[in-house]
Amino acid sequence: MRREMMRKIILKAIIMVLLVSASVTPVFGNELSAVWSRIYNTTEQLGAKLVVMQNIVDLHNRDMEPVITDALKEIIYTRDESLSFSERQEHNDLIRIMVMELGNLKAVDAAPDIYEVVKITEDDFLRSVAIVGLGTAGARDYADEIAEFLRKLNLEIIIIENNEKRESLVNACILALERLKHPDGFEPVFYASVGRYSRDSVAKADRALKNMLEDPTDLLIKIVKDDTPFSIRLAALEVENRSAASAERKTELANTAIEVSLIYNAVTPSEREYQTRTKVRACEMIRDLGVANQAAVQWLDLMLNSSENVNEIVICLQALGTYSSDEAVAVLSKYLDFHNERRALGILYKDERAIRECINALGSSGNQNAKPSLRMVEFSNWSNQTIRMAKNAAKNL
Amino acid sequence: MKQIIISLFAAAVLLTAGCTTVSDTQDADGKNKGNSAVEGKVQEKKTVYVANVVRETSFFNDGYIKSYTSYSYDEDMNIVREDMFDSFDQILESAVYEYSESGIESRLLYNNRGALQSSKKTIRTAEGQPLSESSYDAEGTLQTVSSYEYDVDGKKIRWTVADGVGIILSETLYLYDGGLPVSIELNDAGGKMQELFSLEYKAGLLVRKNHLDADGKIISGIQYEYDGRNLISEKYLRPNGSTHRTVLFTNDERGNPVKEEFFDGNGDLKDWIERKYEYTTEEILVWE
Repeated sequence: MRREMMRKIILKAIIMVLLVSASVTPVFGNELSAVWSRIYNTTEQLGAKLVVMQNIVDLHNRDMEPVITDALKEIIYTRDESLSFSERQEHNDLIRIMVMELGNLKAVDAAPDIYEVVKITEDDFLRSVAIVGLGTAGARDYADEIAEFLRKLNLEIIIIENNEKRESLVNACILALERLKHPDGFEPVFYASVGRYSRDSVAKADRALKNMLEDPTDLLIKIVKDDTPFSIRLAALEVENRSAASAERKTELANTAIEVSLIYNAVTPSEREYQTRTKVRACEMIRDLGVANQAAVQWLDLMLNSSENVNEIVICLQALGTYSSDEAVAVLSKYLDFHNERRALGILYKDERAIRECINALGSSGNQNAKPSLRMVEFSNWSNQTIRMAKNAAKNL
Repeated sequence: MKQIIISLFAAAVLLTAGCTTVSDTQDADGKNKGNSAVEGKVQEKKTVYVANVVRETSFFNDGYIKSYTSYSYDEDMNIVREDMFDSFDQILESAVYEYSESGIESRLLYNNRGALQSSKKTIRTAEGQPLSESSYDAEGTLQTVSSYEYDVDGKKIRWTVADGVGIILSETLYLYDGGLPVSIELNDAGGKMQELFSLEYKAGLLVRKNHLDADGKIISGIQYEYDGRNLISEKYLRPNGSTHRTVLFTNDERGNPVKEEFFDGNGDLKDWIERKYEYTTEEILVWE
């Protein structure tokens, strides 16, 4: 016991010597900072330290960064495990105000010490404050650690039963990663946005995803290509759509989403529903962005000819309607020719929506190759309205 | 407290800058007429604008909001709350002000979960200057007491800090020349000078503040620049004269800072603060 106490005293003395020798002479803009920092250094009692530190923090003086950093070092590296509950509370409160202020002062040099708080504290609320502090201080070197922590929370490798504590930590990670704008942070924040967290945390994650990276396309393509549920792929499309990525890059992701939706089979009814919604959303993006990425044509062709869902077919035709290329017109013509033939053979269509959408798409292509298929509509027993649409489309080419 | 200082500063600036004046020296009963007993000057009523900060927003250098603080006042414009939020509008900490009938002002500081962190009780002079500030921990135990002394003109001449049992921890002395503070001495508990701030003026405006150690060696300095009488920049200098940091101020039409930009020694913008004020008018008596 006595030996343990001696060991602690010696350790504290060594750390104090190291701190004193390592610290830069602080410069103060005013007497308040100078007085309070001088008093802090001579104060022993934890309660008094807390009050004096509060006075220092209230000054929001940027010159106090070395003083607060040294004070934080002293507190965390000479931790006394025998503190009572209330002393421990005071101890944590003292660390909390120092970490918050170091974050406010963007004290990136204090990042290793703030991260030490993240590692050693038993108080999840204090851990949250320290994580936010790393973010506001701009400690990009710790983005990977914060991302990994959030990943473990998402995957429930770290389980925190108390909802308030868990939410506090999740929000802290999101806020820090948003601020650090590091690609490593994107994926865990994305999974937080689709996770089982509160609406508030999801909203935070959604905002963070918009701010973290200008162009998250490559990271989202990876998520879409991974063996993930279609609900995740759909969410990835929405995140991309809200991002500041260029129309070309957004179309690239939409193309990938269609490709993946055609390759992977959804097993459950709910998954099939999300699969359809993914394809529809991807086609909407291709249609609305109007980039006409040729790489997408082969997947739109496959979707058009494999789908039995009229909503999917209509939106796919609308997407193809943004193209004027020979390849796209060939896909549309092949589709119309096939149905012209069927109709000519007497097969009845209850719903001509898809045929009319195909006519619109061929008409808006402006490509002369569309004419033969459009002209065949007149001889295929379609309704008068459909025939009229085809004639107008052909005339306007 | 900060906004009270700003308010007082604004009032002072406006007074010196010459704002709308309502003179009642011509009253028939002569009640408010000038008192010629004071060096031949007359007392006049002046209307001054008092700036009350209602919101202070802190930005990162990319324009992303770091945090903001909203300030609430009662109908007499006494501050009653300060609430600091992060960019998600989540509360970070709050300060609640209470005023007792005996004139004690209390500031209670709460963390984001509503737990009391510390408190401060201030007793002021009739002119509103602090006489003492007592700081308490969360359990209400007195930890430090700041006491202030003023000369007959109301200028602060001494500030001491004592611990909870009354032992003096530090003493700060303010020395004046021509009504302006020119030297601030920081003494230890034994009264021995430890540090010194020396202040230089031009046309009544502070233009340089040097921080010196006990041997008189310069530790750092601050250079102040003005547009008219409005502070527009603070340059923090190292002992060798190189710039450590610069703060640029953008002021509103009444001379109050609405933007403070912080630059590092290389001149790169690090972050900035924006302030919004609510102005109230107040009539005060001044010697003309």
